[in-house]
Order: sequence, then structure tokens, then C-alpha cells
Amino acid sequence: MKKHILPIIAIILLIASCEKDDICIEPVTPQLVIRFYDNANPTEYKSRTSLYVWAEGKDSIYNDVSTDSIALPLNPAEDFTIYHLSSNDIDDTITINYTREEIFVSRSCGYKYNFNDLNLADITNNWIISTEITNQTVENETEHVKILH
Amino acid sequence: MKQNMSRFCISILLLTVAFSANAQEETTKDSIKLKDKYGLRLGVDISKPAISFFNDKIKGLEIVGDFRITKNIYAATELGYYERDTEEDYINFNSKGSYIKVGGNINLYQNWGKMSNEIYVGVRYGFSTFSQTLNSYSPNFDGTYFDEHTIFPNLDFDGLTAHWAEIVIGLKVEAFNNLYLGSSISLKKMISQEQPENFKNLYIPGFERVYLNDTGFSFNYTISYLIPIFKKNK
Repeated sequence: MKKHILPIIAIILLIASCEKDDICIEPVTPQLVIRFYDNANPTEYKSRTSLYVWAEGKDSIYNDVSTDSIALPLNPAEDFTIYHLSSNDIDDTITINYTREEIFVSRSCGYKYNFNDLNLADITNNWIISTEITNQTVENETEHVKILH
Repeated sequence: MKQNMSRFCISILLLTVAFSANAQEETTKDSIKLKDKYGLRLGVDISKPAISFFNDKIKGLEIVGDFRITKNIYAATELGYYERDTEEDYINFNSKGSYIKVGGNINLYQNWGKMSNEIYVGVRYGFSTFSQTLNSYSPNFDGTYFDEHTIFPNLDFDGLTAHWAEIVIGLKVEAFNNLYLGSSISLKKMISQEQPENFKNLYIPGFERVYLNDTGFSFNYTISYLIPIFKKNK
């Protein structure tokens, strides 16, 4: 027994010391998900074609895409983000207001933000007919905003 | 002197072959009566001041002590203070506080002649009272569309406590008369802890780094002196 106990403890220690939490694998700050619906039939998704999306003063994050769903990062340094949505050379802007809540995730991921009290303001209606907030809290990446067109 | 020297050499040899040497089972049949020393052994962990010297983000001191109860059983304790700044990818925090560990060791090494060395396993109960300070953090988000920014909340979380259990294995070598060099490794498992709100105990004095499943491990390297109180026949 005495002869075996040391190797056994050494093995336990080796296994225990191999565990890693140095790599961030948990989800971090979620993005705002906008889905496009058909104004004539508000329960059906409808794609926009030739869509360009950029935040005020930034480069495009969507370039000439055709989609019924976009995920937009919200500015983590401000309580609002202004986005330009341009489709078939028709521009619309939308201001997204929110409050930021920092949430501790883990040693390697640090803190993430959840965005609460979501609301939309200063919406232009060139191709966007109407908007609706379906989820006021951005804590995971499911639909938060409906755009009817 | 020669004898002292050879004892020193044997002790050093023991350090290097410590884990394969415990198969030695010969007993000496000597006409000289050999005696075991019993007493209080006090020492310090020399690795912590050494690390403090080279790394100004870490300060630490640990005092160790043990008392021989029977031939192979020792009551043991460690007392310490530890403070360190830890920088991770998205957070920077400070942990500081003091700790105590109490328990015992069982010596598995069979000494021959006048040698008084140990290869031991032990258990400890550890308790720490400490505080953490969140110096800064950078909110973590995917992509680089928006620039990363750092916030300095300097948020203090005081009055935190932790209780844990440890398994220790180590060795002690009598390098000179009554002067011992030792080293040990301990594996820890958290029993209970008071967590800060919207943060986590990531580094606990005495427990050191807290891994994901609330385990940890640490080393110490000690130099200690035995104050002999009485002797017993072997």
C-alpha cells in the first residue's frame, strides 16, 4: 500500500493540473438580430436584396447581400448606435437606444454586456414600412427587432 | 566533518531519487542505541520571498511549523499572507489576504542510522480571509467592428472567505543538524466560499489559482529548524 500511494497521488495531481480555463469558449456580448418580414403578410420572412449595412462613421459590415436576417453589433462604448440600412440604393437610418449591463462570464472571457430597455428612434421610412421590437433584452442572439417592408 | 559531509551528500541524493527510494527496507542491526528527536520544527517558505523579489506584482510570506506526535505522525500547520495582481486577457484584478492551514503528515520513509528524513503524505484544512479588487476590465465582444475600451471601476470586494481541503505530498531532508530543507506539492478542493457579486474568486491566498471545478494546487519550498524537546529510542 505504501509503495502505491505516491504514484497514485502523483497521477491525480497530473490530471488535475491539465485542466485549462485559459481559452474563452463561453458566449460573450450578443449582437442585435433584425429579421425582415413581408408587409403584406407579416408572419412571413421576406428577404431584402442588394443590402448594405453600416454604423454611423464606420465601414460596411454587410456588403451587397440578399438576406432576411442580419446580426448587428451594438456600440459597447455608447448607449446608442446609429445604423444605415441601404437596399437597392435606397437609404434608411435607424437609431437603437439601450442600457448596458456588464455581466461576469469567466476568468478568460472577463465581462460581457447585455443590452436592456431596447428602443428604436429616428427611423426613416424610405423602404422600411414599419418596425417592431419583439425582445427588449439582448442577451442571446434570437430575433429582437422586426422590420416590415 | 567528513561524516557531516557524507550525510549532506546522502541527503542531496535523497532529494533527487526521493520517489524511487522508498523501496529501501533493510534494517540496521546495530549495537548502538539510536534515538529519534521530537520537537517543534519552525520554518519559512523561501519560494514566496524569492518570487516577490523578482516580480513586484506578487508579495507573500508563509511560516510553516510541525510537531512530531508519534514515530511517523506529525501535526502540521502553515500560516501565510499573500497579495498579487493578476492580468488576464479581459480583466485585471488584485487578491490579498491571509490564510491558515492545519492538519498532519504521515512519514512513509524508513530512516536508517542517524538519518532523520521524511517522505510524507498529509491532509490539511485550509481557511482564508481575503479581498479582491477589480482594477479594470474590457467588455468582451466578438469582432473588431467597434473598438475595444477599458473601464477602471476599482471595485473592492471585501470580507471574502474560503474553506478547502488539501492532500499534501512532500519531503524533508536534514541537511545539517536540526536544519531541514523541504518541498511539497498540495492538491486542493474547495469546500465552501463566499463569492463576490457579479465577479468570482479567481485567486485565493493559500489556495492560489482557482481552477474551473474549484480545484487548485500549489508548491512550497521550505527551510526549517527543529527545536528538539525530547528524545525517544528508535
